[in-house]
Amino acid sequence: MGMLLVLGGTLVLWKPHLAATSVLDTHISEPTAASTPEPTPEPTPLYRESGSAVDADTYLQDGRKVEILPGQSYWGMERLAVTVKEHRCRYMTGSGTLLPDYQCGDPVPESEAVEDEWFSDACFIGNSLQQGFMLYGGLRTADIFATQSISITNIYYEDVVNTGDGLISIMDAMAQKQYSKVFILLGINELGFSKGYFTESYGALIDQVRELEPDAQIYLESITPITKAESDSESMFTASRVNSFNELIRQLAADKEAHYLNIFDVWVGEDGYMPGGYTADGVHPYPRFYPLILDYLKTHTITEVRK
Amino acid sequence: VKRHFCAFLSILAVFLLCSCAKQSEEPSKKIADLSAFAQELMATGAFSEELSLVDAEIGCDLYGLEPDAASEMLFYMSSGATAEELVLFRCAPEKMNGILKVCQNRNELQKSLYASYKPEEVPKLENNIWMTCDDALMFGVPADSQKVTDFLDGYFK
Repeated sequence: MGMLLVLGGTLVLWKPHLAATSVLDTHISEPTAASTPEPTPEPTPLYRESGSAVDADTYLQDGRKVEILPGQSYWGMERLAVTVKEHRCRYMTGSGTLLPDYQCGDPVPESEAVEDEWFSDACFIGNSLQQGFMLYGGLRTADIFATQSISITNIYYEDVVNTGDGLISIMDAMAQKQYSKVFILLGINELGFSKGYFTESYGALIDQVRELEPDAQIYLESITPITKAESDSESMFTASRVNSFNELIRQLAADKEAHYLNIFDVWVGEDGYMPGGYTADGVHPYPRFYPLILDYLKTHTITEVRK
Repeated sequence: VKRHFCAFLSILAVFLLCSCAKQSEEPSKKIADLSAFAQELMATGAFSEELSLVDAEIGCDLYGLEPDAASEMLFYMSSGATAEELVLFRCAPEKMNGILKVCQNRNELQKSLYASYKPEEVPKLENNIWMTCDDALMFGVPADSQKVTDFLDGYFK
């Protein structure tokens, strides 16, 4: 596999074992896309290169896709024309791997773990489970505003964040700073809502977060599992409602261009419930299980490719 | 005159605070090790779940305290299943009133949040228990406040 370099806005293809004998820097910028009055859905040829140093269907670091068209032989190797599709790939993992097949609403796929610093421009908001993550998850680089009883309705007005000078709401606390990433963990306290009201209210919350944090990617964390005993009790917490509300959250991620993080998988047993040994009340895991959420978040990262 | 009156009030407040602390005929036993004291107290079964020590910086954020509010701070928190908490501070006597007030403010907030969230936890918050001893302050929300009282009686006997 060769290397692909972008130098001063031009593309250079380099194949190590041929570098000594091949002239591979014959890069010709052809900004035909810019000069074409009307864009076409066809690949936009921005560069044409001599030499074969990239594979077809690979992606540049800026998200453009490389296509190699049949060419002619050149110094003993196949001469190829390279066409680059502009911004075909919109998302990449936190560690920089492009995700051409990913769409919002898909569960964020597993990827190479990032460092805690990746979350230094992140804000986490949510309910008691998010507070548990704040207390016991082990992440020290992000801002986390969360407490028990918070839902998609009272997150706007319930003054619960202690500033030292008084209490403010979670939304007001978040709005004090511009973040690049906002993680939302809500839904368990809303299991008694109608599905229509939940979708409408959660959607409005996402819109509000986007208005307050216009440059942020928004991550919707799934509702976490409950125990079978809790599900079988008389409470509003049932496994089937958790599952159906998670489907609503996933659909919201698709509709609102947010990212769905399926943290449900972290604490679920093979039977679809949280194991009884994980929790005292059937809903909130013991502190020792929260670092597993951090591990999940660090290995399920996604961000928009820088344009 | 106003200044002297304020000073008098401050002295009175400190006096009242000290008088609320557990006292006996003998000189008060000092709490040499806050962590060991907390472990002993939690071992009595006064708390219905195992409380976990959290990072002091996070505890300060939660309570709205400055990181240098006390020379030592221990925050033992619930998993989220209950409203139970235990916090201990080692601080200068003149800071004790302020820290106690912060703890009481948090307790009031917790009461208002739990009232609609888990009403069964509200009595625990109402039966909160605190004590001061020399340079140590403890504020607790146990499941069984009588066990805490019994422990303190035994500890300072």
